[in-house]
Amino acid sequence: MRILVALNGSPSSIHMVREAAQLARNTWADVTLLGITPVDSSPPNHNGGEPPKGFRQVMEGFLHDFLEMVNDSESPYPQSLTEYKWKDADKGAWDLDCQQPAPGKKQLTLRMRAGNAAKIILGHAQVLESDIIVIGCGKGVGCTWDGSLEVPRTIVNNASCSVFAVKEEKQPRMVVCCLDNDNVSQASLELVNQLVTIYHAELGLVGVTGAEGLKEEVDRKMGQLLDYYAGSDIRAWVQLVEASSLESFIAQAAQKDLVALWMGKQSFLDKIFFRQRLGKLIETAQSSVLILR
Amino acid sequence: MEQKPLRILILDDEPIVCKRLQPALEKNGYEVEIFTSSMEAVQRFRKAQFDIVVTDLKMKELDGLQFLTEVKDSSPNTEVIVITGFATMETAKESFRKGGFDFLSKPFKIGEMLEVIKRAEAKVRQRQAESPSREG
Repeated sequence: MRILVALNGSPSSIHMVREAAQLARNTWADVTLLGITPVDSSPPNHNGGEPPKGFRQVMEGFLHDFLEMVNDSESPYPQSLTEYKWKDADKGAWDLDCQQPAPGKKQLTLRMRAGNAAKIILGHAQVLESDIIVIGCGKGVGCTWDGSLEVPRTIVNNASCSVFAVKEEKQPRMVVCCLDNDNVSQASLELVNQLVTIYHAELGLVGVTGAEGLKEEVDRKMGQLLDYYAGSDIRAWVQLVEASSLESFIAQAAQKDLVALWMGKQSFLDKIFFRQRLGKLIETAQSSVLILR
Repeated sequence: MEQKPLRILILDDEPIVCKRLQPALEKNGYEVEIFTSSMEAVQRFRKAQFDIVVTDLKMKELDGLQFLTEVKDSSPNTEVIVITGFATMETAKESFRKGGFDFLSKPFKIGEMLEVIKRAEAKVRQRQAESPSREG
């Protein structure tokens, strides 16, 4: 598994660093911490290959927090960072390769970039072949990146992999997955398995009904999902929710559970609800939301 | 001299995983056999030599850690890559303690698996170069 953690230097980013560390600690994933600063705050790379000091210190602080969270004598991540040096990757781009993958060792990289955050995050996810992007939002209502709603919205709308919009650290009792179509990727099934295992959580499968009830193909897919999870010894319950009340259902469920939305290619959530309103949904949800692709 | 292609055994009780990996690895020059039953995989492994084994962890009958032990006991030079959809720190550690080469959590992209296979191949080839008669 490859995890991309997008950071903007805000103190609340520590929540997502910790969530990402919890995921990495159990899955031994390759991890890239990607710090992004607005382009006008970044001088050219003229200081011996090192990025701007203030932002660098914040990012290195996050890296140390991450390492502290995954610290273990048999951890696949480095025990300390004394021997690693920043290098210029390009103008406004710096890399700190903490560890390359090797047997028993997982890749850990801290990258700093200056520029358009959404474009940089989506570009990295594609090049790195990330399985999940972890992005942060402020706790409570609203999901902003440096005060802008546009960045998280663009990421969740356009990423080709799953996106975990983290508002706070959480130990959910349940992972509640909403489905309105039968296009469920194997990768998303596997990601749900991992989260249920890590959190020791129960699984809820929520079928989203339209004006004519639950679509036949969704009904069939939910049956298949129940069989799949039963075969994996994962306890799951099923519920139906009308599309018109989905927003309030999610807002309610997100208070104590982790809500996940299956956004397959044929999802009307993706085509209609999601495109126009998911950004708002993530903004109004009081807690973290996982977009499954 | 052209090298013999390495032989890889893939064991995962989810057929979709095997079907996804087999063509990608064959395209990269490996000889691949796939199994969805761990008992059938064990029987096959006892009869044929494999350089690399990719095994899922959570399976009915024999689980992945038991299969790993079986493989390393009878063929210590076979490199074993453990994959799992239900990862915990303990299972990862246990895989290495039992001699696993690497541990990959699902989901993973084909590219990630190929990188791990290539690292395992390098180790196998190096060993073959160091003691060609034994590896013959």
